[in-house]
Amino acid sequence: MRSRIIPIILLTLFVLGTIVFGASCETKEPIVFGGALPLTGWGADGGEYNRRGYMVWEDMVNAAGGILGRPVKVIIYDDKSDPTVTTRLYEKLVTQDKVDFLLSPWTDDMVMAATTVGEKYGKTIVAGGATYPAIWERGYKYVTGLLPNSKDYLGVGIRFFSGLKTVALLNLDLTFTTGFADAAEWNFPREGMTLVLPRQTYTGDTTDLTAPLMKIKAKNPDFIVACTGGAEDATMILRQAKEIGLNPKAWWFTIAPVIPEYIEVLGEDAEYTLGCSEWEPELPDTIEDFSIRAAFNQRHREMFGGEDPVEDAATTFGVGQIMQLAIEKVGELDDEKINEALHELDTSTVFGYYRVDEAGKQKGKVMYVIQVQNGVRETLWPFKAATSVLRFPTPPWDKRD
Amino acid sequence: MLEANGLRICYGAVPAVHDVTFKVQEGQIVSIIGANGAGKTTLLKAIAGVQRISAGRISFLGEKLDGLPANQIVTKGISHVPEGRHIFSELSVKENLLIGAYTVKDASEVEKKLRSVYKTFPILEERSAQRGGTLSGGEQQMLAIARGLMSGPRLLMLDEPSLGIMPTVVRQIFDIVKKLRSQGTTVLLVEQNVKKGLEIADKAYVLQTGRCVLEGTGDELLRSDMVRKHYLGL
Amino acid sequence: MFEAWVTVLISGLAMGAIYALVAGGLNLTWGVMNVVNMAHGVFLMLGAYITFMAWSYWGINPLFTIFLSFPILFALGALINRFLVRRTVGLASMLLTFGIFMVIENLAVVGFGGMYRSVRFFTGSYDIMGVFVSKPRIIAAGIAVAMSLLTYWFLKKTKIGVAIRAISLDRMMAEQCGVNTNQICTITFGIGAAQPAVAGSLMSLIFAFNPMLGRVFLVKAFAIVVLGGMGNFLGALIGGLTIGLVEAVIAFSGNLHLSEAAGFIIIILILLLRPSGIMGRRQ
Ligand SMILES: Nc1ncnc2c1ncn2[C@@H]1O[C@H](COP(=O)(O)OP(=O)(O)O)[C@@H](O)[C@H]1O
Ligand SMILES: [Mg+2]
Repeated sequence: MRSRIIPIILLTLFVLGTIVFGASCETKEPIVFGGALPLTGWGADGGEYNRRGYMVWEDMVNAAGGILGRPVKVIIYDDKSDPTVTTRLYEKLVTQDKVDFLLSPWTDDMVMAATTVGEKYGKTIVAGGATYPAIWERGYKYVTGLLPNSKDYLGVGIRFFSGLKTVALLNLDLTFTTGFADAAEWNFPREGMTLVLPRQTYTGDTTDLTAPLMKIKAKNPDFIVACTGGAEDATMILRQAKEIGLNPKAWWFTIAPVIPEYIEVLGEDAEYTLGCSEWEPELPDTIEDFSIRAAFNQRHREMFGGEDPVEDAATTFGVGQIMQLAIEKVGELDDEKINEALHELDTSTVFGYYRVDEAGKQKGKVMYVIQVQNGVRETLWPFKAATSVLRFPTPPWDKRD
Repeated sequence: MLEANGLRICYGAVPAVHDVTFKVQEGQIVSIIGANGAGKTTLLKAIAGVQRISAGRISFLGEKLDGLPANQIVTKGISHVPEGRHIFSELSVKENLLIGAYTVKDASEVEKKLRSVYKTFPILEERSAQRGGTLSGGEQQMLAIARGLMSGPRLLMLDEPSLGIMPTVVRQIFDIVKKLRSQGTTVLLVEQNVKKGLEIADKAYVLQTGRCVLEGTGDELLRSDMVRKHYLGL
Repeated sequence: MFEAWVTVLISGLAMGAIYALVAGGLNLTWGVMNVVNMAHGVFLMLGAYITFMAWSYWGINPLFTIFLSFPILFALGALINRFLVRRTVGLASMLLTFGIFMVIENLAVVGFGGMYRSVRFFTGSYDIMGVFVSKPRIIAAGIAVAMSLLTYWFLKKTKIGVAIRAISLDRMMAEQCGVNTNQICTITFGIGAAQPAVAGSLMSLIFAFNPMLGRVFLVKAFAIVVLGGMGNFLGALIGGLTIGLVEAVIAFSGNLHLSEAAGFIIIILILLLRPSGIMGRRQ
């Protein structure tokens, strides 16, 4: 019997407490924002950083008096890294929780699923961590995005080396990295580059890249674009390239070079490699307007054990900021008008510029070309933000000291 | 030396042996005979410690045996040569024998035992490097007995050593059993081949559907009407 | 072209040698104890972290760290068997080891973090007349083969080794020969955990890894055990080398997708044609 009474007492206390406490504290109904993130499963790391961004945003908005004088409440569910769960959760957020606004999930697959629900109910989603072009190429009315799509993301690097003639492409077989590789192939002919052999695809289970790297070596390309997913596969590529003496004039990696442990794991073998960063915690304000970033960094450190925010936290904070700006511009919670505002805004967040085309595709965000030099990521472009100049060509492995 | 009192052994809820009592005296060959399914194998398994008993008591040299794990029974001086031989098929003949001597700590003692069983079963020495599974049925039976002898048991339990083996080999095996007795090893023999089992026995028990229905010396039972009628078809 | 082929084949064999060591441990727990050990991969991952930490904190030569990862994981494996696995059979033990896998992997994420690590000790290659032989891979492969052969010797020549093989064939009979099978199984499980741990130590020299390291190798290890024949200890070594070689050949003449499928196609063929494995004997 005891075992049943205690929970009942606790529940009663809790309910009473909520009523009394709630009534005294919250005089105004909060504006509710809801979303789902991969808090467990393969996406759990990114999901957690995303969640932190939303949490810091909720905290800072409320501390500053809320939106339109009302407090903000953020609900985040766990989609378990499964897009079918995403669909179910976004249906629930709209129909049962009756949230006022939807927040972005992470990443491409989940955004594809969530935006389908958003489109159905006319609730706009500002995609936070997605680059897959199809997200904005389905004719949807209620989607915009914070990140440049993958064609633009790859385009930066390929344009940067547009003098080079021959190129080889490596591709990790995941949805988003394959999206990058597709985008790379779309960009190559536009910059006068020829792919010297079909793209070399490998999987997350690949333990030995000798074979594809030897094939590439036989074609001796000027440039190698590797659509990697992170430090793990980039490490295997560079170490094995060193082992077999594969020496292009330049190496370009997606994702990996901006991951903190990339340089730590590879050490000197990371030198000369290039990539594209969308966000660095300490970028100067000369290009984009990062005015409130110091406050964001500070609050993030306070809330999360002194840790600096990473890009994935800045994006979701940026999503919150954009939603807020749109709501404040409209002055009321009208989904249609807010959707219009989201398409018209030309502004900047902690993440950088926000300006989208009619389809909702991000066009304003500046991307930063970075190169590993002496164990540090240096910004090469845009020139106004540059901290160093390009080191080119990459010396052969056996000529490095 | 071995005493079993009021044994009751069940598979699940179904009893296979009810209230069986018997004795094995040191230096003798004791046979348990009975038809297929009578419960003979079950009885040996209980003594060997691989089958739990639900009532009764087993003692060996005055010491309680039941409840001990099977690997302890060997150390008490009892070896079980099970029905179907259970040769380690992928192990060599020699390795099979060495496993038989697993409880013997002294390496020179193991070597001595090995020489002794090779003397008893010369064919095993010839085949010592061969895998157990490649031996013929008769050779496997010899190997099983030899393996049982490697621990130097005081009581050797043989379950149907004649099953599926050529008559000449059967004769050989029974000769060896007799020789073992003369060397001081006590033997508890289970046989479906009633004639052979009784001829060799100093003492014998007849088991019928889990009950002990008759006991006596081998000769007495060979002469009893019941045995002649039911088991010898005379 | 010839040099390229030799480079690729040597690399494949080196990888195969490491697969074989992982599979060797599984062959013990699966082949001897009949436990489908889903936790196998975390033993490997822990081995990699032991080497990483010993190297990065105390500067211990990573090759010596196998003398740490082996005993530590032996003890962990033995404890896991003694207090958990031993109490279960069949599906229950599979679910239990899956639970152990989840718990240890998540603890590792909490303890070590999800970021990638690697031991940067040997890099580059030996250039032998135009054939490139990866330093970390060939050194790791050499140790892996030595370790596999040492285990093979142990199983063949020592008393405990013979007992382990006897248990794998007929546990009840081994028990009746006086083998304390519970105790020997605990030792077996210990070795079964220590072997992949050594493989993990070696992998830390090759790969950038995080707590998910073991996942990739688990499926391959199961495949190799099937290929080499369950309970056949030389079979695991030959099976591992075969898979490594076949993967390399197909990766170079075809592509990596085919190459990864190839391992499994071979296994399906073997299961159809020779269910007891390439080294196994027909029943
Ligand atoms: N493992 C078992 N499970 C259930 N019943 C069994 C098992 N082994 C034997 N029995 C049953 O117990 C009885 C005695 O069997 P057993 O001891 O093998 O007889 P015997 O050796 O005299 O032929 C038989 O009815 C048999 O069906
Ligand atoms: Mg029987």
